[in-house]
Parts: sequence; structure tokens; C-alpha cells
Amino acid sequence: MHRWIYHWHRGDSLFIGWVAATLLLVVLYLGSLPGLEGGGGSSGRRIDIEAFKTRLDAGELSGHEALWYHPKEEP
Amino acid sequence: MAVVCELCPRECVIPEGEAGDCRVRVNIDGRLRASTYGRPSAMHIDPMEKKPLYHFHPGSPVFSIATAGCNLHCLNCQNWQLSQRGGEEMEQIYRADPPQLIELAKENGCESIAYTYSDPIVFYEYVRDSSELARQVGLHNIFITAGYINREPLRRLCRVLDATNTDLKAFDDRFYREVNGGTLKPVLDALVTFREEGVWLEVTNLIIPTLNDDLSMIRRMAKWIRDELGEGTPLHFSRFHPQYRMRNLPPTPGETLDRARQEAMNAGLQYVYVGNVLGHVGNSTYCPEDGTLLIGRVGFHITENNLTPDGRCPSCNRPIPGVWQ
Repeated sequence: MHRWIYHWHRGDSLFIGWVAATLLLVVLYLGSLPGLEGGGGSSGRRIDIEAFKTRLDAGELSGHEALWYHPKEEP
Repeated sequence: MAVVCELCPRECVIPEGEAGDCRVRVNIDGRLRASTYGRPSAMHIDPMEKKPLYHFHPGSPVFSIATAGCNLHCLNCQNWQLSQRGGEEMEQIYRADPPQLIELAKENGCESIAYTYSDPIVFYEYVRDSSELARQVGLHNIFITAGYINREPLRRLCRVLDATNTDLKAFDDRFYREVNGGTLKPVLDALVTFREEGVWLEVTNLIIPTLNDDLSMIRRMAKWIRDELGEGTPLHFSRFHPQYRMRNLPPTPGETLDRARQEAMNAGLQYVYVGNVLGHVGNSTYCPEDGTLLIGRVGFHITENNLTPDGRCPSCNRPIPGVWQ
């Protein structure tokens, strides 16, 4: 331990940097996954809108208007 | 223009060209579309016991449907190929607007329609319109749900529903957040609403080893059900099988289910069942007064039904809560 602290090598810095970069990548990856947390105020979910419209036009999906929504007021 | 969906507690703010978290309520030109209305992706005839509903028209066939989408994202989802996809991603989509659905149910000799498999909350409008028509021709409406819905939409829907089996996934908000992507409180509110509105209610709790098998939590859950929903509310403990994103845990041991059942009965619940375990003594219904076997079951099959025609124990004449005729 004593030797390790007082005999710092360039290779040690590279190793620490590699570990930190790996952790950063893991955190970024986890952050990009769809959130599981529940509760209000969820944002929309992007869908393949072209595929959606194609199937809507073909009648495979429905354009029936939903109940229980309102326009979002602009700030 | 973006819209705000008021159906479930997520209250998604949905920009044009995007969907809600459920994937199937889509904002097109500033109007929210229920994109799977009349477009189920699953249709089957199931026995009532598969829902599971043990105190509602036992042994009768149920026309069961589901569309794509769900407003929860359970890591152990049994139907993730259906629930965790949008309509545009489905290989199979049937066309069955409400009148056609009613005809299909009748043609197949079913007495009830179950809105099930994914979560029918996300195809709310389809359920409502179909249920109104079904009522008119004497079919029963069954809502199999996780109960993650706002109170007012649910209250309105209850007017056309006859029975529900609602999942209570754990008596723990943290579990809901980490495993299901939801929260506990709205589910408890939904259970109370079903009871208040007179919809026949049974509750299912899937026990997952190490995550929600704590007996003290099960005791608290059973006491809450007893106090808020009534001691005659059937509770089904269901066995977990590893799947989807939760393959790292083993199936629920039989002893865990036995202990949970005993704990719930000790807390005062009178009809506590064990599901997904073939031939378990907890598959059957017994009289809480004298222990008489009332309805014997093996899996989804009824082996004997000893209830009187008006739903009483044949030995002591005690009325058994349920909808029997």
C-alpha cells in the first residue's frame, strides 16, 4: 500500500482513467434506457410514426378519438 | 399541439406524432387517438378460472381479448410480446369493432367478455363501448387489470363492468417503482373504487422470491384487504416463473405460497387461493364456517361444485360471497 501510494506510475493513471471511462459509459447506457420510475408527468414515447400512419391508412390501426385528455396549455 | 392524457397516473404530456408511455395512445394533429380501438391482437376462449375468478360464474367460458400496449413495464411480464409493443409493431392485428366482438363472443357460446392479457386500461374506449353493447345482450364484462388508472375514468367505466381481478403486485411502493414502473397508491385507490362501485372484485398477488415474499409485508397487505375491501374478498397468491427481464430468480417455492396463504388467513381473509400450482389444496373453495369443500378445482378444471343454487354452503347454509348465477 505504502509503495503503491508513493510510487505512482503513468500506467496507474491510465488504469484509473480506463476504470472511470468504463463507469461513465455504464452510467450513460443505463440513463438511456426507458425509465421504470412511475408517477405523473411522463413524457411522450417516440414511435415509428411512418409505420404507424401506414397501418392507420390501411385500417389495421384505428383513428378513434380517445377520451380523457386535454390540449397542453402553452406557457 | 401537445396533449395531456388524463387516463392513468402517468398523465403523459404527448407531443404531436408521439405516443403515451403505453405506446398505443397516439397524438395525431393535436388529437389523441386510441389506436388499438377495435383492433385486438389476442383473442381466445378461456375458462373463468384462468382469469382467475373463482367466485364469478364458475366454469363458464370467457371470450378474452387484448390489444397491444400497457402502462406498466413489469420486469417479469408474462405477455411482453403484446404489452411492451405498440400497434404498429404487431404482426397480428384482428379487426373486431364492438358489434363484431359481441357477435364473436355469442357465436362461441361465451357468457362473458374479458378484457385482459395486456392491460385493458390502455384500450379504455374499446372496453367501454364493447361493454355497453355486451350488457344489452346479457353478456358479462370482466376487467383483468393492474389497476394503474386515475379514479374518475375508472369510476365511469365501473358502470358497465361486472367483475375484475386486479393485481396487487406488492404492498410496497418501492417494489412498484423498481419492478413495475408504477406506484402503489393509485392501485389501492382503484381497488377501493371497484369495491365502492359494486364490481365483483378478486385480487391477485404474484409472489416473487426475495422481492415481495416477506411475510410481514404479506400480513400488512392481507389486513389492508380485510379492512378496506372486506374479509370475503378472494385473494389469489400466484406462483412466479422466471421470464422476460427477470430470468435470474427461481420459481416461487411451494412452501412460500403455503406460508403466505396461512398468513393471509390468519389475518382474517376467508378465501385465500394458490395459483399456478397444479392440484394444490389452495386451488379449491372451502366454507370458512365448517370447512366443507364447496368448489373443487384442479388447475382451471372444476372437479366438483357443491354450492347450493343460491350460493350457500350445503352443510351450514352460510352464504358465500360471489356471483354464482
